[in-house]
Amino acid sequence: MTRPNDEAFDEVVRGGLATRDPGMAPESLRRRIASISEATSSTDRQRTSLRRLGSIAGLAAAAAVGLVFAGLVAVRWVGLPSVGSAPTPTALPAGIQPVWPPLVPGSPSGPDLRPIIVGATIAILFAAVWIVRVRRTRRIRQLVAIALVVMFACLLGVETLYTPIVEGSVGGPIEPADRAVDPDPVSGGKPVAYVDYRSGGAFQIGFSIRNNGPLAVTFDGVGDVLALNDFRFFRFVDLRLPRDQTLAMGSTDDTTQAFRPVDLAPGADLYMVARFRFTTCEEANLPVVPGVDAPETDTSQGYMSIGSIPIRSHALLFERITDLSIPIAAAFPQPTRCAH
Amino acid sequence: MELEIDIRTVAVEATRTPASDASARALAFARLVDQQLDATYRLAAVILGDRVEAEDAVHDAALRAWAGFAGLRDDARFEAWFGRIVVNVCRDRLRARRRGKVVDLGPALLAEIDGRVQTPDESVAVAERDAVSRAFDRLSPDDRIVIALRYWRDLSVDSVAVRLSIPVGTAKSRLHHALQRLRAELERDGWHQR
Repeated sequence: MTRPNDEAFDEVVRGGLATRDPGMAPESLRRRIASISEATSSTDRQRTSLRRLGSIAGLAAAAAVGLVFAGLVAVRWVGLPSVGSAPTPTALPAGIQPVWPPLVPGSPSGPDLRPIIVGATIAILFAAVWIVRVRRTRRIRQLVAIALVVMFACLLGVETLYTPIVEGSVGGPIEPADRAVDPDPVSGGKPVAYVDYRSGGAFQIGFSIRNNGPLAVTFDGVGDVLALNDFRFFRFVDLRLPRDQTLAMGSTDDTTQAFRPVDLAPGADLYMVARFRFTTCEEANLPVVPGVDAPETDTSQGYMSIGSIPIRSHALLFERITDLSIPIAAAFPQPTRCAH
Repeated sequence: MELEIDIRTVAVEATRTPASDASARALAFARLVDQQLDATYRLAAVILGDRVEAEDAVHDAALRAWAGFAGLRDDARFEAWFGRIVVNVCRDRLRARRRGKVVDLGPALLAEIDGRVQTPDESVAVAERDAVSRAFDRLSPDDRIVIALRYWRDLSVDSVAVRLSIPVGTAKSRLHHALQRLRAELERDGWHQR
């Protein structure tokens, strides 16, 4: 086949395109076009206002997310101690006898994805605002709206379902000196440690939690302690953190410090001490429900399992409560009579 | 009392001004679109190969243009601006088609010329234009647009580049390849040079 030269081919193309030329615009189109500005001029200011409001709302949303992100970064960099890297071991103060075996802090299993998630959210919000401003078709707006709704639904779902806090590797009484026994079926198979009841005395339990998820989690403390106070024979006092997470033992003010929120890296363990106070004999025998007599107690030893502790934490924005089973059951002889 | 009347007058003027501005802009928009209507409608029809769809495309483009008309400060740039919107709408519509919609103009043309006697040369020319049109329908949206702007709208390559918001070199390259693909489509249909 012989190809035509460029000029001849150009003419062929022009001739072909000319067959597609319909000529003047039909009157129906002119009427449709004329109706656009006539119909919309009266509502133009309203639409402009709405568009401005939409832009402002979008920018405000992006700014709000940006502030949250900045807050997370600031808190992470400045405020909270982060657990996950092994601190230098320190010598145990003299006179403190370890009850737990030496502990090895959990090693982080991955990077903290929170800044990435928050950064990606901000980027997507900015992109959505930009796309809506540049491509002002209804279809684009619908698609962007659907995409944002799906994205936030996913984030909300993750926020709701994400419960990475699990029981750690250790748990047990610290003091007073305890008599640990083998796992007992009454305590659900957990090792049982007897804590001798002393009216008005105190005892402490050490336990650890683990961040089992891919996101860093901020551990905020315990939840509703009223549930703990339901126990008739002891009261929850407070939570303390061992100064040295590699040792994670001891119970005095020298070896622990007041609790404050802690960032837990993915895969990291956190050891802590929960302090309890025995109720007095009179408190123990007060009726649980006013007006109803307390059940008569017997003289045998009984179990009083701590059960679970509500752990309060947040991974991104929202707080979540995880009921954490403490892997011990405290047991002690229940008093029958109050000795004055 | 006199002061009260003055305040009312000012209030009436304040409420009238934006409305009259809006009306003036609406009139200006209607006038500018009307000036471009034939050219843009014909361009859309050439690109899309469908008169009805071309009407819809120009209408959609006018809607988009009206939505952004407040941001256009210089009315002298309306032609290029509106033309760009029309081209973008045509591109969107072509991309929305799952498969290339081939509008066979052959039967229509044959029906038109059915009533009159053609010479052999005229018949060949009609068949050739028909073949070009059908091959054109099989091109990608970008190829169609660049060829239509250059060979139907008779824009220079520089103007095509401005209309498509692309560099001149890119416009040249895109035009060259589009013509190559059009030629290949024609040859695939058994087209021969006369």
